[in-house]
Amino acid sequence: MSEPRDDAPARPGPDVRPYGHEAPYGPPVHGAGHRPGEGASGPAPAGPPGADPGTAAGGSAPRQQGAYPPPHGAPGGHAPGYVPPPAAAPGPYPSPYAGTGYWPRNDLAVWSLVLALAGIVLACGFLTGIPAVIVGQNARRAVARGEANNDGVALAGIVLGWVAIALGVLMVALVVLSFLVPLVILGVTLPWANEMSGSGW
Amino acid sequence: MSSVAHAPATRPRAGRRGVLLPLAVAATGAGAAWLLAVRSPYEPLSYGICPSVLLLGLQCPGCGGLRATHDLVTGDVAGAWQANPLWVLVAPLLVAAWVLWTWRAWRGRPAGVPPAWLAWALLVVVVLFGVLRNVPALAPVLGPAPLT
Repeated sequence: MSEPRDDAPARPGPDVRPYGHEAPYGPPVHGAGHRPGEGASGPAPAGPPGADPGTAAGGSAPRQQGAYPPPHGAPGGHAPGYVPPPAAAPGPYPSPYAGTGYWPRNDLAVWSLVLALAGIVLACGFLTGIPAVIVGQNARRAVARGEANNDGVALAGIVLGWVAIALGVLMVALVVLSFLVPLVILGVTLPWANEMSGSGW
Repeated sequence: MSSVAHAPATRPRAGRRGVLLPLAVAATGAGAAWLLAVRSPYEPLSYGICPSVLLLGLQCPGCGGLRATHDLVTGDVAGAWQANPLWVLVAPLLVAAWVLWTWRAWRGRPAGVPPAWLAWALLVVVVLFGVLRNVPALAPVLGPAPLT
């Protein structure tokens, strides 16, 4: 039995689709609807390989028709001891998401990216940078489980989230240096600090 | 758990254990609200100076957020609206999202991911709000009321 968590990103998955929910419903159509190289996805995003035995949801064929099975696990990820169902349905439909063009967790990576962008653009690094990193890591886990295919977006969210956090650290450091240090060490409040004392949060 | 019969295994967190994280988030938020109610951000320098105002000289979209939260907690909606109208609109949505999250966690269901278009829409709204409230003509409507 293979490990969908680890080997998935390494595969040259043919199911590279742009971000979105193309063909969300209906029976899975293998080999149809491929639009390689069109999306904003990163390098070699892992389409759910057709040979993988059941990924997180361990679907069986009848569940394909619904095509909206709730993805497993809270955003916090699976418990450490989580073991994928061992090849429960090794038939032509190994994963409920394979071939459907439906990636139920693609939104996670987009949220991570948007949070990180907000942290950078709006200069509120901590407030949104930290959630961006957490959500981005959840998104990458979802990619490894075969529930999403936008690993590049998730990685961008994580990296930019760290950038936002760094900007937040920089801003706080500048404020401390320019405001608190004179106040504490010298016992004085700089005149502009009094002027701006009404400029709160 | 009976409502998720189509997903038999691996529902590790439900009930009391499942709501631990939502409860921790709620406790953090309630603590912050309590602090803002007790220590008024209307007092000069009570929470320091905002780095955005200090370093950039701009009112970021969150400017007035502490004052608005203080007013919301103490029941002054009009004052909160003058401090940060966007936060007055968003805060109830956050509370509603928390209720939904907690309910789903209690039932052992995974927290749903809000759709991606909502993220982009929120980003556009927040950035627009941040730009417009720095326009002098609109500052009295959108910006935090200047402290006297």
